[in-house]
Amino acid sequence: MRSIAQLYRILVTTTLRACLLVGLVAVFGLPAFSLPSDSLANKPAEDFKLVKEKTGNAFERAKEAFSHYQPSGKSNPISRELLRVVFYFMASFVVCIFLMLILIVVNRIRQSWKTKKHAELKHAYENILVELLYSRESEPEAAYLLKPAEELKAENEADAGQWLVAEAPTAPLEVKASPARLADYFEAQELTKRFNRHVLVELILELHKNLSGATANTLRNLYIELGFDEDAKRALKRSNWSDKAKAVRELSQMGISEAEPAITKLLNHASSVLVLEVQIAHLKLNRETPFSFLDNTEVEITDWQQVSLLAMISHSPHFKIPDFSRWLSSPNDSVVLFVTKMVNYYNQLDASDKLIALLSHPNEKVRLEVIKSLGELEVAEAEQALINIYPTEPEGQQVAILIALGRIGTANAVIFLNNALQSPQFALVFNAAKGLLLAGQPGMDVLTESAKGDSDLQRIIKHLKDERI
Amino acid sequence: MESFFIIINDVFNYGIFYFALSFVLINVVLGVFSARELIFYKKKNSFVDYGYILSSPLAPTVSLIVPAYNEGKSIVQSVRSFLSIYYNDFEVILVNDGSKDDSMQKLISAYSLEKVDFAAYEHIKLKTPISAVYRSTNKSFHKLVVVDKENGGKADALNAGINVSQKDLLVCIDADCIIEQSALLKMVKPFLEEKDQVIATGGVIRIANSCEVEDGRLVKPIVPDQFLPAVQVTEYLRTFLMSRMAWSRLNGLLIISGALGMFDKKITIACGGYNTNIVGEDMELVVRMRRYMQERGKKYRVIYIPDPLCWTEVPATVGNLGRQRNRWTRGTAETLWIHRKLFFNPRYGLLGVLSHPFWFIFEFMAPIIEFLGVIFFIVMAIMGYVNWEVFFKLLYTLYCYTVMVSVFSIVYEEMTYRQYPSRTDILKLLGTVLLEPIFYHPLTVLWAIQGNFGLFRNNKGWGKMVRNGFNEKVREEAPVPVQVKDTPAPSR
Repeated sequence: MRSIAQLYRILVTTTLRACLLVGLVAVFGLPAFSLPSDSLANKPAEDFKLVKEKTGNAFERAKEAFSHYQPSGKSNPISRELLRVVFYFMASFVVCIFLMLILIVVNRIRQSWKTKKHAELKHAYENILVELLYSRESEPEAAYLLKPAEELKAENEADAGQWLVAEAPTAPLEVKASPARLADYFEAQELTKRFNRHVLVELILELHKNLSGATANTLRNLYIELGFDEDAKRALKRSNWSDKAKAVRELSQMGISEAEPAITKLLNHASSVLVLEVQIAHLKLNRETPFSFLDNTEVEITDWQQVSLLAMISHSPHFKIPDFSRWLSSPNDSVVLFVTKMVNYYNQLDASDKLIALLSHPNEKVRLEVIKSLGELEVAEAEQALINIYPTEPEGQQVAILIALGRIGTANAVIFLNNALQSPQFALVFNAAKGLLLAGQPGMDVLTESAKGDSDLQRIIKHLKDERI
Repeated sequence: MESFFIIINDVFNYGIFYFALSFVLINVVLGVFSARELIFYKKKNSFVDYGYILSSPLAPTVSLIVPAYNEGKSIVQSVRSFLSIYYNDFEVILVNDGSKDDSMQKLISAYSLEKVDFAAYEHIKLKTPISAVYRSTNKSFHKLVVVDKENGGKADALNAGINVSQKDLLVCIDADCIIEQSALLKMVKPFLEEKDQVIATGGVIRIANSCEVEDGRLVKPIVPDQFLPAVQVTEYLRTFLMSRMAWSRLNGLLIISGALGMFDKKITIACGGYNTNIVGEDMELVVRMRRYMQERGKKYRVIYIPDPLCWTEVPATVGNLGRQRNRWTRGTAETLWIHRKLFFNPRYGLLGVLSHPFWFIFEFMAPIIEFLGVIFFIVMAIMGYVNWEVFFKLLYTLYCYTVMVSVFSIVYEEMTYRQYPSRTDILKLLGTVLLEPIFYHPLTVLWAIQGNFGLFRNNKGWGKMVRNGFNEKVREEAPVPVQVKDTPAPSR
């Protein structure tokens, strides 16, 4: 490495002066150009003309010297052949530039046409849907459907987030217009064109998301009647993961339960985006055992998937929440991690014993989550186990144990936390103090006693007690 | 003597020719990788609902660290803009780096700040101490933490912010940047979705000069009329969309822009935080973090997000731009030198075999080689040894190549984010693409050479930076946007 460092230094210093070297060495390095012995003794240019003449002469002599230099064939890399290649490169670059410019123009025209066409079709389809769905309905309701979907969504969200409940279909209800009748209308709308079908599917999905009851069911029937479900089922077999994911999302939103086996086959796909769609579809379509996908998950459930699944579950009250502890012994660590969070989120105290057993899990991430959950669930039985593993755990886990013990708040935990105040590590002292404050009055008393004469600890206590922080 | 000329001639003719050829080929490969990554990212994100992170108790918490020096004219509005970012659990840590203006007074009165007894532990040793930590008495501003410290430079201010941080992830951002409201949601996502540990994410930086800004939010992107900022628009597009995305895909990124970057707090602290002794602290931190992970045999990733998340004002005058580029050159050289152990070192995997050598050869050495080539060419031209037909053909080919690459970057932008829908803007960009190789590129080479000279003169300064401020529509009660300030130019 030393030689590389030296090379680096040499390269930088020499390259900066290379221009001088090339010129000067060429001139002064040649015996023919050696200066007269008295040149250094000469006075500064007495006459500018003389200097000019001298320089000119030197330049002429340098030129002459260079004229003796005959580059060999090897030292002239730019041969005619190479020039031809260069010309091809240049031509291809020029062609590329023009192609790209055409692409920009075409793309802009295409985009604006698409946007215009999309808006026109959407408007037309919306009108047909409203007319057919609400032909026998009261005017205000029809007006409701005519509102833009975003507006509807905002209104519905304000209404206690109930719109998500509509995602799973209910039993067939009376419809205002038969799906067959609706389908006839749409057949006339050039639905053989892919773009038109795409716009209609998009509109049906958008409206379906914002509606519930009979109208939502009618839309679902229309979706089936027009064969969009078959399109989606076919898309599940395509090689492209995004086509599959789109189809899974569509089928799950429209509640096409018979597609569930085909969807479940994709549970361990290499694409994590598709896997998340499959997991969500499973939750929506399998109403009896929505979480059974956890039994068959072999791939890692990423943190992003866990966040998304929790958001999905917590926003949809119709899910049957199972006893998550049954998956705490899963061989898939990410499943264990996810269900530990679920146990904590749903306060499943019955899982305490299994959680305590997981304190010896080989995966650090799992242990950390288990410690946090035991603390938040305030499992007093875990107190000794937590104290036992404390010395062998890394700092992150130790911090979590101190907080967990604080929440548990038993007398033994308070003594342990008080001892932890003696740690040389700031993070441990800080969190031991935090734990003692969480433990209530007994912890507070111990902390106050320990802080006597310890200005650092007093500062920590002030920090922790300050509500502004 | 004749043989000496042959050697020199061979070195320059062959060396520069093949150097240029390999540079062209590598850029083509990077362009292809970038395109793939962009397509993949756009496809993947079409399924994403960022709302999931907003309400999730499982999402990581974030500290937004904003170092500020003499930002009094815009500081109140900047903080308001940072506080309105979409995220569930985050804090904004503004570090006043010994400002000589009235920044602190303005913050105290605007946000009802009070000194608190903050038990901050010095995880990272600071050059200058923290004087006080302030929190607001108004619960609406409970996410704001203001740290007042003696002047110690940007890196030291960031380290102070890291010491005060109480969250899982760190976002380091320049005070004068305009950040997209969804930026944190998008930057956090890779930390949650990648199977390997993500240690840092960066967002694409866009140019805010001439753009319409309202209440600290960018409402309409516009390509600037001035040549220098406009030419930097294509330069940034080329860098971020065509190069960094490829390096992100290869997991070989060496830099996360200092203007906006998200870091794993534990790894940042374990690495010792920002280096306060160099000017390229943003690049150096990323290299150090990567080296740290590599030396411990841990799998990790550094990821770039192509979404336009951050808008910043770029220098609009030759002087300011020159100082900025001079500093960038010094920063790159210092980082490459500090981590010279990585150079072609297979122990460091892709980082040692590809990333470090690439940066050394094609980022640091390229302007030097180019400069020497030009000098050699001039000497040979004076001596009458230039085949002008060959010269013009090669020059024209190279010109076409650079124009083609820039046009490609505009196509990438058109096909993905299309931030400049106006026809005039696209024409402006295409115009700058044609002029850039002639008027702008030679200047960048010159600034890089000056940077190298500065390095040998041990110049550690940032240079004085004068800003024009954003093209902002402000409400009557809002503070006037910044006109002139002494802070450094926005980092890479």
